[in-house]
Amino acid sequence: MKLILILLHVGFLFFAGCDQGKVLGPASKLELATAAEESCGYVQNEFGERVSWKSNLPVNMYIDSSVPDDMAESIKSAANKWSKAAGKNLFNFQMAAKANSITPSIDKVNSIYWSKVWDANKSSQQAITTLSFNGPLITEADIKINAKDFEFYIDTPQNSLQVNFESLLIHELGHVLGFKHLNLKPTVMWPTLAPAFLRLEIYYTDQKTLKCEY
Amino acid sequence: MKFRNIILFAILLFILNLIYFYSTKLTKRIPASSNELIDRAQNNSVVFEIKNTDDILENTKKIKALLLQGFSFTDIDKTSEHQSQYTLNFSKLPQFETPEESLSLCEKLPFIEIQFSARGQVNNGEIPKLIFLKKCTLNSKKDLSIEVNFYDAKNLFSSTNSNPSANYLTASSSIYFKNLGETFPDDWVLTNVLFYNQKLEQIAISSYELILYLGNPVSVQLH
Repeated sequence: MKLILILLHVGFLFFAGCDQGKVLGPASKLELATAAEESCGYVQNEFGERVSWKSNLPVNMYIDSSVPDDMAESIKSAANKWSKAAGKNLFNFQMAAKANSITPSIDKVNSIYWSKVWDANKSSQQAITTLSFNGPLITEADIKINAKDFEFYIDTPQNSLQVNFESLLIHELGHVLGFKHLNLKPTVMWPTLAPAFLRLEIYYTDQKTLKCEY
Repeated sequence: MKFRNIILFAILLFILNLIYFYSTKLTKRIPASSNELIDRAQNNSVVFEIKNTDDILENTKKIKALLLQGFSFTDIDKTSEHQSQYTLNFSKLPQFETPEESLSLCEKLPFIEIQFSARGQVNNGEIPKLIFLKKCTLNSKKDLSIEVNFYDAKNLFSSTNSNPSANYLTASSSIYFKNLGETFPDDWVLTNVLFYNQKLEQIAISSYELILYLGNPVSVQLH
């Protein structure tokens, strides 16, 4: 009798002590995120996971031959600032041998384009960075610079409408890393960049964002 | 001595069980209280006593559980050349009981916003969104069927010079685009279903809740 009571007690502990509860809906073959991750300034996929390059670093990018040479140097300078903030090399650049199509496409090649053609209804965009991702992993990034509606400068603006190119590229490379726009100044991910405004350092907010994934 | 060994063995089993429980995924660890919400909503319609907005908020979890229990997402016409029309079906609906009257979901929350996000694509840090605004109307079976037409949306996008963020009024709904790039994405995921009224009372079912309930995301692949 005593033994039965003990066995019942053990059985109760085993089966009732840790009820898993019912699963809501059919079991999934997909790997579900255990819970939505904190955004931490990154784009999130439908499972709430942050989207980034994870350990697939450095990001190898081609600078299209349409990009002027002096601007290419600014791109590398912008990338170095991100790498310095991360404490590791985040980007590698190569010059593309010949001009590709100015329309970024999903070709698994990360490229930076200089475009003199731009949709009239998107004329306020200084550039567009397009990412492709699979699950939480970025698989491709392309940056297209709007050279039709904007003029850019490197050191000194020639007129009050010119936009600092390195400041713009620091922002766009932030998108390449998976960053969203942030509305908490100071940040390089502020959605707009005024002409002649300099945004040349990676701020504390951006460094914090960087550390979440890299 | 023997008794002590049994007790120790029982404690060991209990600890092992705890380790097993907490190492399983969150989606498999739904608290018993949530199951109760599902179990209680077995009929096609469940009555909720609603006197004010707070009552809707208080019952949100139960209402969502009920809606999700009767939810299905179907292709309207698989033989069609343009497989781009889908229906969101809700076969289990709440009934709102106020001191004066009894209101259906569509009478209480007459507007629906259905949001899809492009899968695997980001433009300038934002995932492209496609939002359908619909009027909530019950069908003859007193179910709710909401049609979404991606073909219309794609056509509108093409005919308006790929405007990335715009809204358009079609015969059956308003369609909003946000953050679209140069091409209309082919892969979409249902990320939010919002029932609301002009008093801003609302019930929102998020992408995560859909995944939690259905086991996988509700997705659309255009051809």
